[in-house]
Amino acid sequence: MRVRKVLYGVMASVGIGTMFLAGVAAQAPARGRGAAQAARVHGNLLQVMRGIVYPASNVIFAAQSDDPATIKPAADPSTSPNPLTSAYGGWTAVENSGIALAEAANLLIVPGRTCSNGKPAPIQNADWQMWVQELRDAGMATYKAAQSKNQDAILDAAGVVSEACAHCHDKYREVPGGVANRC
Amino acid sequence: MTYPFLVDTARRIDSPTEGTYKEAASNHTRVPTTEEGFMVRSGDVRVLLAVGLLVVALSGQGDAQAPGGRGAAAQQPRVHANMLQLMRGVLYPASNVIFTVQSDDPDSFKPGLRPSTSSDPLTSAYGGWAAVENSGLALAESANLLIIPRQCGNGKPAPVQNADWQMWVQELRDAGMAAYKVGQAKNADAILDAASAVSDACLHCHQKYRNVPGGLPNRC
Repeated sequence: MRVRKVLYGVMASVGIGTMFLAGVAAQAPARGRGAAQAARVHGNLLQVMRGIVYPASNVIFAAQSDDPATIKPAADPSTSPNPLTSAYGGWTAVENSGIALAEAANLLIVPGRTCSNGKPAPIQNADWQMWVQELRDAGMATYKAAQSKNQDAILDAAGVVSEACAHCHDKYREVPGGVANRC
Repeated sequence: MTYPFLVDTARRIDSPTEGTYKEAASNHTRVPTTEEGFMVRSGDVRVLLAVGLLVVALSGQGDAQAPGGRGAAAQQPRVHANMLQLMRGVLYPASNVIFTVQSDDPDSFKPGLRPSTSSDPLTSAYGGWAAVENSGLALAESANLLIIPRQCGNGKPAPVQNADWQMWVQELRDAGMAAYKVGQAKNADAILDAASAVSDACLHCHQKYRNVPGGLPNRC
């Protein structure tokens, strides 16, 4: 029993000491650890689509008809605005675009995001979340298809991406009244 | 004229790391043991199971089951890529659109043969200055992905809680939004400053976390 008490005392001292040191480190400029940042909303849903989802999808769709392996790098690949002709071009660009889609799904569930019509995006709707998950899956399917460098596989993957887009768009984008009513 | 960070093509990732906050948290869930004084009786277990089943059954009658129903808990972010993959998938292509228009007037880009599916944002259906706007916004929004706990390219946890990491994430947000505004204004002179701000934001973080002695195995 006495040994256990001593042991608890040592553990408590070590714990307090560790907390103290951690507190000191957190205050050190540019080295400390802070609280996790919260996500911030900069664009509405339409803008996120056009900024990330749309260009990434187009790389995948382009690979359906043009073999990524045959696409020549741009004159200056490191700054090419076209991912397929960039330093990470060809099949690698298709991989990266799949990743971009899967990760962009995280931006579609950020609280506070509005639709382009100014209304809150329905991120808590069950079907919204289902289709966000479909986008994640489609992105990762593309990533894996691109790793295999198999154009038949990319046709299937592009089909999955297209369906993921269509399922959500059918309900939230292709609505009567056009832009004013759509998310 | 500013120049973006140099890229290297030496490394290729074969398998991203996927997971969720929730999964990570559940791995560290503290399980009480009888040694700590938590006695669980079999009768309690039966009651808990009955209550749990009742809750599940009732919740099935609510909105969450209805098509498009509300009431689902907010989804947690999921990690599909390490930091390197994220950079190459989202930040690198968006930055290159902004860097390109330092020398090439966005108005001079002709739409692609099929603009709606052009893989070059500058020649797409939302091309020219709109592509600059969109890329600025993409950078600002991608900052949200940089604060999700994930791995570096070398497999170690990215230091997303470091004060300087958060400071540079904020710098990226600001640079992205500056580029967005310049894209809106269609101001070719101002884009030079905006591209410079983007380049600086990249550089500040890369100097500490990317351009490290030992190369790829040591960098985030």
